[in-house]
Amino acid sequence: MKEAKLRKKQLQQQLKHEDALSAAVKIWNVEILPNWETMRYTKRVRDLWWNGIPPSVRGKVWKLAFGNDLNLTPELYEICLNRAKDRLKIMKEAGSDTDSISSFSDLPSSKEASVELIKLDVSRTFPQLCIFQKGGPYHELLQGLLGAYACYRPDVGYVQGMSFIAAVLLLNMDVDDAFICFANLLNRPCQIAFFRLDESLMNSYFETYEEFFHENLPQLYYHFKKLNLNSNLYIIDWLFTLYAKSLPLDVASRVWDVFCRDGEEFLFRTALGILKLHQDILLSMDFIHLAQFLTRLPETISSNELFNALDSINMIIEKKKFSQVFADLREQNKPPSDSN
Amino acid sequence: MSYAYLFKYIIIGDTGVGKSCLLLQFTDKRFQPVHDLTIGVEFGARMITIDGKQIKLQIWDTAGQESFRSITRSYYRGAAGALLVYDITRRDTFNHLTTWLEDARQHSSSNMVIMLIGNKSDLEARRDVKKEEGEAFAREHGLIFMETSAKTAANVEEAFINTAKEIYQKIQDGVFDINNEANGIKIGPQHSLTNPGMSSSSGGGNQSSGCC
Repeated sequence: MKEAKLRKKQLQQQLKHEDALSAAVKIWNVEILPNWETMRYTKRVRDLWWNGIPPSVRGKVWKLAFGNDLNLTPELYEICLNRAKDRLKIMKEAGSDTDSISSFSDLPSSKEASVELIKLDVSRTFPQLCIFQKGGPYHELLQGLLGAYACYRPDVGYVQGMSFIAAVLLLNMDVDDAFICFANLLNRPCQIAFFRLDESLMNSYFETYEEFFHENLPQLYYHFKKLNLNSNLYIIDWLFTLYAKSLPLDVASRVWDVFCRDGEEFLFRTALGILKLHQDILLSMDFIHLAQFLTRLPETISSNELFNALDSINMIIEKKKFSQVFADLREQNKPPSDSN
Repeated sequence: MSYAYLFKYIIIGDTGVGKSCLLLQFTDKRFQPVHDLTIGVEFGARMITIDGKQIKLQIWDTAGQESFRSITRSYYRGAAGALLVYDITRRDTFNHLTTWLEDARQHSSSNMVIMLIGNKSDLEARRDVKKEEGEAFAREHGLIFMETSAKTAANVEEAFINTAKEIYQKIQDGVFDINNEANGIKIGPQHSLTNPGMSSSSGGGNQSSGCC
């Protein structure tokens, strides 16, 4: 009796959820997307956005929100893709000795040769989904996209973490759009700093994050300090994959939704949300348990509980936003100039 | 759980050689054929017994990609042991050992014990680096050497434990200043007042228990 009642309640909830979802899909498709530029900054759209973009329109919204400042075209993707394929062919012919290949007609600064590494990593991307592995439906697409990017930006090349970002895009849009989105996304200031491993900029991001950590969760902040647990031990993994590896995919997708609305500061806000959500348990842990917990988050995190925690994270310190705190820190850390 | 010492280990080597799989085999006694790739660093811990004493290993498993070297360097600090891993089926991972070793020596305490590991010994048919080559490299650079298989667990236990034995021996010989945590050794909470050289000899009854 009781069970039947419970089941009925669950069913009702699910129906309600599905109704809400199909209503949201309609609003996005009929009202918002056709009037994107005028509506994207309105309060109503921003609120809807925060609540999560329905999976069926997600790709379209991301594409518009990430934009195409680089003016990339599907033709350029084709060209880069072919170049990557040639590159791999040459390597195959040269055998497995990658050392002789890396020197192959390259400037030392070119990282085009990193395409060899892509092969190794594509199979290790979302292994549990079984679609990016060899023989899986997205294997070639993911390998192609990453190779094309390494040829498009040989100064950046392929860096671990990228495969997760590209994979999430491929799950939400076709490959041309995924490439264009990927390249534009990686061209954002925070992403380019990290994927070029620019230590000075990365450190400024960590320091800025620490300020907001201190502001929002002082008790936990001092607990970490006492144990010498630096934020880079866990946040590197989170930022290089934009949470795609560390959070359940549906939760990560919601983080991406708001990341493309609010920009880089939301990535750091998410980190604080995760800490806040687990604050009590984290406060009771020693160094190794903390480090293990944070580099392998529980698979049970739900987007609602995370977004509830995120809601109360304050991203303004003394009237300064994340970007201003970051800029001030850059200014302070600047080596003394001899201009005057 | 209480322990006499805590040793910090770092696992290094090219990407895809099986660093995370070795760690998983050692801490959880299982093998994952397709492991996630490691970005930045991941962690493992296990209690072992040496000479009747409980020793806690705190293991830092690092990302192997060249681009991450500058980040990995900061993780050497305070490591007492390093496992330097290559893949016996990929010669290039063996060729890169010298640069890994330079990095390790430059950024760690000079007493750090380094164990060279040729992993994937189960893939004999695809072997690209002879065992003798690994041995020769180890001899030349003063490292301990072992071939392991994270898949079959062959020598995995030994690799981690022999490294600890070596560190333990160095403590007994007074090579390590155990009061300086920069050496990667911490004295367990209940032992901090006793002199390790004087403490009672092995009781033999201590059971090492799985994880901690």
